[in-house]
Amino acid sequence: MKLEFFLLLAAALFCIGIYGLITSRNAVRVLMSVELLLNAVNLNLVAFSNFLDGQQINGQVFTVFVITIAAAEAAVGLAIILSIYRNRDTVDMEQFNLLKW
Amino acid sequence: MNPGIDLQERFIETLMELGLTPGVAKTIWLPIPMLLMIIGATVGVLVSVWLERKISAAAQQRIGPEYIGPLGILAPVADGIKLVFKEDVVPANTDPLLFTLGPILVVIPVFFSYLIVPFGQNLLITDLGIGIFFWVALSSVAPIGLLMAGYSSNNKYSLLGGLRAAAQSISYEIPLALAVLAVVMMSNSLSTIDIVNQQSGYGILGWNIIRQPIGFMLFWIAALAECERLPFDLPEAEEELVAGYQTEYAGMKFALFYLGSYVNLVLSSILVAVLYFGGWDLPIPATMIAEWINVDPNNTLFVLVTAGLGLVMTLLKAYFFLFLAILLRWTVPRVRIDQLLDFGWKFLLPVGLVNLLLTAGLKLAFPFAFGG
Amino acid sequence: MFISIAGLYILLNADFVSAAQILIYVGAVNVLILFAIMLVNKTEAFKPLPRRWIRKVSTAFVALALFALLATMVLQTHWPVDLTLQPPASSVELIGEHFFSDYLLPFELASILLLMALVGAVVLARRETIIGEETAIVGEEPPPVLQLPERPREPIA
Repeated sequence: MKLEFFLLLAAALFCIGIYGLITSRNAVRVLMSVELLLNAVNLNLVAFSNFLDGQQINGQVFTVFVITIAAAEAAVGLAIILSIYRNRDTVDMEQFNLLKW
Repeated sequence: MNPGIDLQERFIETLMELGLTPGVAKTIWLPIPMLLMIIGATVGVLVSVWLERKISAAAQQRIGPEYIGPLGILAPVADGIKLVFKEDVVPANTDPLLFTLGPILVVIPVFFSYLIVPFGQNLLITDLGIGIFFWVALSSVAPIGLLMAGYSSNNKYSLLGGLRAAAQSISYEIPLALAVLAVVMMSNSLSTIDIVNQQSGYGILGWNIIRQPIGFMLFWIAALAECERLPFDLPEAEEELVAGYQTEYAGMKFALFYLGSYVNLVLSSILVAVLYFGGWDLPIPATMIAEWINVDPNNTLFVLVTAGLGLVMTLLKAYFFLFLAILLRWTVPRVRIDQLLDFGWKFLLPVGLVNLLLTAGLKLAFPFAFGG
Repeated sequence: MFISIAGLYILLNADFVSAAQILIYVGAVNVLILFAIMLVNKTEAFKPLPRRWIRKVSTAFVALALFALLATMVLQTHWPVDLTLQPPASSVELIGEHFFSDYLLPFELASILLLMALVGAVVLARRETIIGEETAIVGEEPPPVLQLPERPREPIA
């Protein structure tokens, strides 16, 4: 259970999240990729706090904050997707291009 | 307080005397409490199903099962055998993965929560540092299973029933957590063993029910709502929505839902007993009894007897609440879904917050009584 | 996936964070995502964009490159890990102390942010019509509100 394993896992999850974020066309899938990104970051923080900061566990405090913010942002993001769905009857990200030149 | 019996150490020492290494001895020990707890939970379910039939019958002035086994105690076994032998119908056009996964996700967290249920000072599977918070966290996994079950049944009544059940389950998690939080604030620890130890020592006068009457009512109502027992029976009421999200389930999957709801009920009653009624504490503290009969409190036989009595007391208290829940089922009318959600959010949540505030204030004012 | 990460947290001596992860992510965020999927569940075939494969390949390339960079950095840095330190007896107590001493400001700000998110989500997701204020065409009576379509009842006898 070396530190590197956890960091590699977190890096892999982060890269998968980035791939999902940029390539997916379904808006809900984009939100799930964002949650994946935040979870990868959390894993990183907790791994560091366990191996390098075992007495003060500041990393775990950060993690609780990130979990909270991620939940709030998921709620607002899904509310936005719901409004867009009601207005435009689609969740295709390619069609949300009103602000494009 | 006497530290009680440490079964794990005795077991490992016995095995080590037989020549096994400590690692192997610990590995052999590990499954035993888990198996015991699972068997205990299943037996508890069987007993509670039988109790439900008998007590409901008594409340309705009839007798209930009496020919299957003496006093009808084999009735739940007959139920189980019947459900196992039924054909497992999967309706057409359902998503088979979600259909199967629904009941599993509803039942497994309940069994998992038995990890923290204490029957004695050392009579529990593991003394987690986060004890009762673990149960609150696991009880919030259930709505996903309910939603899966309702959505995948390809039946609009099931979908509506599943949505309502999930809404009910989510709405009553917060008053539950707030009531638990008030108790935890008083006992300065999330571990269930510490919660019971903080109440013990004064007999019946030290139990949390006296210091937290509002919290107890709050917890009891929220726990009944989480278990989907009457008066919060909407998802599985027979007159409403056919049978809610359980409509399309047959055979073993329905058995999982059915038994799972009873396991949840037994778990909730035990947790009420642990949180508010002193767990394994006797109404008269054990040290006082030791003084009366002039026995050294650390005498092995005395410790054994008090531990056994403690186990019996926990079960008695849990079954008292089970009795109360079953009686309530046939006494109180069912609550409508909007009344239910109103009650949860607009009444119980503010009451829970006020209770928390009161507990915090009383804790600061009287630290000796409210947990310093 | 969230439950697996909670399990990993338990391995990392972070019991409170793992329970919080199960409670928040599995209990709330997952349910939110499920509700959203159920509500926007149109199985529409997305219009295939021409040359979409360029985006996929380049994103995959960038993601792999980023992973390679991070992996190299992780494997080559000498982390000053001290394996002899004991983890704290109760992580919950320690986190609580941090919340109320070092990290008090983020704690309060997080509570305000949660309030904002709650109000914002409700405002964004509600429907615009208020039940009962249907506009009526002049001369006819306003349409009845929330009536089930039923057949007219015949009087008995």
